[in-house]
Amino acid sequence: MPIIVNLDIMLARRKMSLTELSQRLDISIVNLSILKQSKSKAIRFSTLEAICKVLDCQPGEILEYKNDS
Amino acid sequence: MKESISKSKNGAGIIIISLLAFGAILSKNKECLLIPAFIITLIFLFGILTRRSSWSKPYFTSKYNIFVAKIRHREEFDFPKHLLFEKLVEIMPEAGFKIRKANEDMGDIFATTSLTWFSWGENIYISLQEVNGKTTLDFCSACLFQFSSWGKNESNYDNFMDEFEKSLII
Repeated sequence: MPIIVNLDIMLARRKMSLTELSQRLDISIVNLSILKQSKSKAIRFSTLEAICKVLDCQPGEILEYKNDS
Repeated sequence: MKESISKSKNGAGIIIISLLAFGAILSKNKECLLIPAFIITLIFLFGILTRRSSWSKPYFTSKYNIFVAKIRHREEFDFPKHLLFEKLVEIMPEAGFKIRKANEDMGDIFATTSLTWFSWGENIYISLQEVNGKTTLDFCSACLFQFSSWGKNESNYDNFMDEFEKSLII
């Protein structure tokens, strides 16, 4: 999929584990793992907002568009 | 995702039971009606007693079992096995299934549904197998004791897939 989720990069930059992010967002680790591996179908604005708030970043730092061709 | 569907052919079962019933009705000796009734009751009781046992899986999923209406589906997911397993365990209650046994190492999930007007309840068997980073899911929904599921097996699968798709919106 051309939309890449850079959650792992942001987590590394903030030195935060997926478990900690999961606890702070109140989202299961399974869902965050799916999101991190770009396997999810869609992301809610509310989820994106919460992630940006916790990681203190912009949506563009989490999501990236890569043209396949 | 690839999909293959198979439905059990229970026409033979219906014909056998119909022949037994007609034979018994046409026969002068009405006591012979008791024999098929007794056999059917025994099979029904066996189904009820063994329903929630995970060892009864071969009985309920066997293609030779004409007393159990069942459907099978196979899907391939671009997910690691452990992640898919965790996800399925999460969505099963939302799809209306009660998990009876879940073994992550084996990749097996056994769940049941409750009694409805159209069904005595169904057994849901899910098994996962990982090959080359992709996971194949085998789904089987089997009725307790019915020649036709009246669409319950199909709706179980539809509910399951709907919940799975919905759960991918995070």
